[in-house]
Amino acid sequence: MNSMAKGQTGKAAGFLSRYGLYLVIAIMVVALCFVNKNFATYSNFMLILQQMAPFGVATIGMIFVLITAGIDISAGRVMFISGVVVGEILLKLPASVLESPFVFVICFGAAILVGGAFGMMNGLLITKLKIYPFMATLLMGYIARGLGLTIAGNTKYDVSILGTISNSRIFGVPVAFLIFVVLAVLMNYVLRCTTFGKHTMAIGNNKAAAAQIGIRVDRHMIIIYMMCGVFSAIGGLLSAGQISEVFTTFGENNEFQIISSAVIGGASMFGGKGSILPGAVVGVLLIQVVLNGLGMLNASVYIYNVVRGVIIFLAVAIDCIGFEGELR
Amino acid sequence: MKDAVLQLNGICKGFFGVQVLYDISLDLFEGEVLGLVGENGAGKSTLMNIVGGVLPSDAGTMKLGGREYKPQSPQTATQAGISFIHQELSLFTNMSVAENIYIDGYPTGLFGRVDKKKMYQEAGKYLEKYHVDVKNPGVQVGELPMGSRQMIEIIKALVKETKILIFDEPTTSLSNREKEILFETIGELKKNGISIIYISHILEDVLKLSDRISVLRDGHIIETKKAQEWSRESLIRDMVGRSLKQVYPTIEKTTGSKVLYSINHVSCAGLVKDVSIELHEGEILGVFGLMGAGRSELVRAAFGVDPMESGSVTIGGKEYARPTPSDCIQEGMAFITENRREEGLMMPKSVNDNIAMVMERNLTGKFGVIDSRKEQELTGNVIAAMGIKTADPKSQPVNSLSGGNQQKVVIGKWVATNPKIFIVDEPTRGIDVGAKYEIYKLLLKLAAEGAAILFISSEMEELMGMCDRILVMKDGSLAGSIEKAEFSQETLGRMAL
Repeated sequence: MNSMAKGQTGKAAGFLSRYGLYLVIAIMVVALCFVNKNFATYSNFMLILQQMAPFGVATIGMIFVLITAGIDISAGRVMFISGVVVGEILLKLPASVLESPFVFVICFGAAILVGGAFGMMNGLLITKLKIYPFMATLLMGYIARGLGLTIAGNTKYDVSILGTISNSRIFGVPVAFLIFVVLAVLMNYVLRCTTFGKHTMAIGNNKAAAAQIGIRVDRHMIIIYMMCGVFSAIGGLLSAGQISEVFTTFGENNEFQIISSAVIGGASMFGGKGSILPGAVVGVLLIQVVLNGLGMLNASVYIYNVVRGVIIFLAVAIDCIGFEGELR
Repeated sequence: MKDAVLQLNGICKGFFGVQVLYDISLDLFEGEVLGLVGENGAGKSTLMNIVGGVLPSDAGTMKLGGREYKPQSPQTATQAGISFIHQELSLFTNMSVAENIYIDGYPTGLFGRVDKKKMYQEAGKYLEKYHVDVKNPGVQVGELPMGSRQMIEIIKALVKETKILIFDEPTTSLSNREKEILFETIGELKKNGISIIYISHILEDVLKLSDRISVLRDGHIIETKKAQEWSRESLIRDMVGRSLKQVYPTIEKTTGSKVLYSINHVSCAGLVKDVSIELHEGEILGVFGLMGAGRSELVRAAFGVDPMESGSVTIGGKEYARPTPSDCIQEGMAFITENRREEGLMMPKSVNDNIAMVMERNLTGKFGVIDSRKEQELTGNVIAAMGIKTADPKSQPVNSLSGGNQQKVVIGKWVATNPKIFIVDEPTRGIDVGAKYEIYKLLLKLAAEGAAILFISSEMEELMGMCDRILVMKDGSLAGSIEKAEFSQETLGRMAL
């Protein structure tokens, strides 16, 4: 209707929304180079890549959920319970297994099962009982955390064995980052090039119409929440390996960093929009550079929360304004 | 005569003991357009839902191409070669044209990879064949105008080797130009041997397009005959079951000299340019314009729903540079939006709740509690005055009412506040002839009682039948004003183009 006006303002906004993120990252990187000379070092860059990997993996799953106009608030708490379960398993495994590479199969297998189970519960609550995704995943998150604490009590699990994956490097590149890249490329293919991906987009745009053309919407959504649970659990293990322990506040509030990474990377909480390459990857990178920069500036621990809050605010605000703009 | 592609034989259907369709028998021949008309509630959608596999029939049989046809679901109907083009399109605006066309069966290759090249090529061929104005199949559907979207919906059906296309009110959101293109396409489809059932309230279109027309009333097929043998009058007569001599009611009224409302040099970013309007007591002032001429944008700004860039409005002598909807309501204005589903009504709420929505402020008693007895009384009055047909106003949700009754609820909700100034935007869109008449009568009655009405519509005829004066908008500014004596389609059309 108002295509003319939209065209003009749309061009500038379109440019900003397409390349704005790269601009912001570039400006931050340049600024940080001046502020602290330790920033622009090879080792620091590799550290950023290594630290962004766990969140990046979890963000991949979240992208799919956001595209269907859903949200998964339980991501951080699923990370916690997966960590606890794996910690518990490591306590019980005999030394012979602990020394064999088989231990990783067991750990990641267990995490995937736990994450998948919670994801499936999320999906069932949302599709079959028609509970709003926010509420359903919030309550599943509480259950996950409660169960985790019940199992763990005051135990601080030593999972340093997972550091073999999380902290090691191949040709100087962090293995965790390589895992992230492989998963990102794979899931990017699924999202962009397969019928599953196209149907995900369709569901996010118009659920009723999607059901009408024969897409099994409920089943599709359950799979997507399971994927989100699985990726959160994998991300959780990578993260646990990096800090080599699982403690009572492990994973707490991680979901907000994951969701804001996805939203900054162009996914919309209103559904129907989002990408893994470049979207999610750029979003995760941006947040990691900010956090790393804060470290370089010797910022107080409390400031971190303020900055995280501001980032989430910006991400959500951009999303909401962009959404209005598209409607008009 | 060619062979019948689809044969309906004695189809009956009832819901909860209420018979909706009685013994419907209908033939659809190859390459013909069968028009289907009837008032809302006549059973058109139920019949089409049975053909489309959404509902099972209680009795009767269907034959498709000579073979028995018993669809279990919409998908089986699609596979059998029957496709629907609905009023609300089922396209995904966040996806490309090609992705939409092939949504229920992508050509895939290795590892489930969607064969983009093949998909684009095939989609491109169809786009070219039917002259769709789309640069390439990779364009996002959300960026396209409604007309092109409709064409894509049609192509989506053709890709599935559809034999029968059912159009349900396809032109409601199309501009005149887009409508012509659609009609040309329908002609082309006919030539390719595709059979079409065309359902619409716009009788001129049905008469122009169809080879044969069936009239459905209260669940019965009243008559089916060749389009040439029908006239607009005979169609209306059979639809409503009585002869409706006048489409527009006559109610004596006079236009006063007092200006109740004026819009002063209003502009809105790129859409409305320096428009001034004066609205008098008892006057019905029409605003005509093509899609995108800025009609709706103007009144939205004038009611404070959207911001205006410059200018002001004067309501009852008070000037507002930045009106807000609550200012306007306080000053006795009512705004009946074109979008009753999204903006006018709370669809899942009851008739009473909807009517009480605007006047809640006046019903509030002590301690801010709503006086429910007063509410009952007022809503009861409104329902009676508007003639709203509802079984139980307290619990019946408005989305279960017919379009005409929904519109009456929208108007009733405002009338309850006793406004003096009405802005009505496309008040009869998607409403059948009988209900239109009642809406017209309501508006005229309000004007006769001294209310001023700004009537926005894209139907010339409706404006000419209802208004005392018509303003024509073009590209955001006023192109002219026509007095009742000089009303003609030509003048209006010339000014708008």
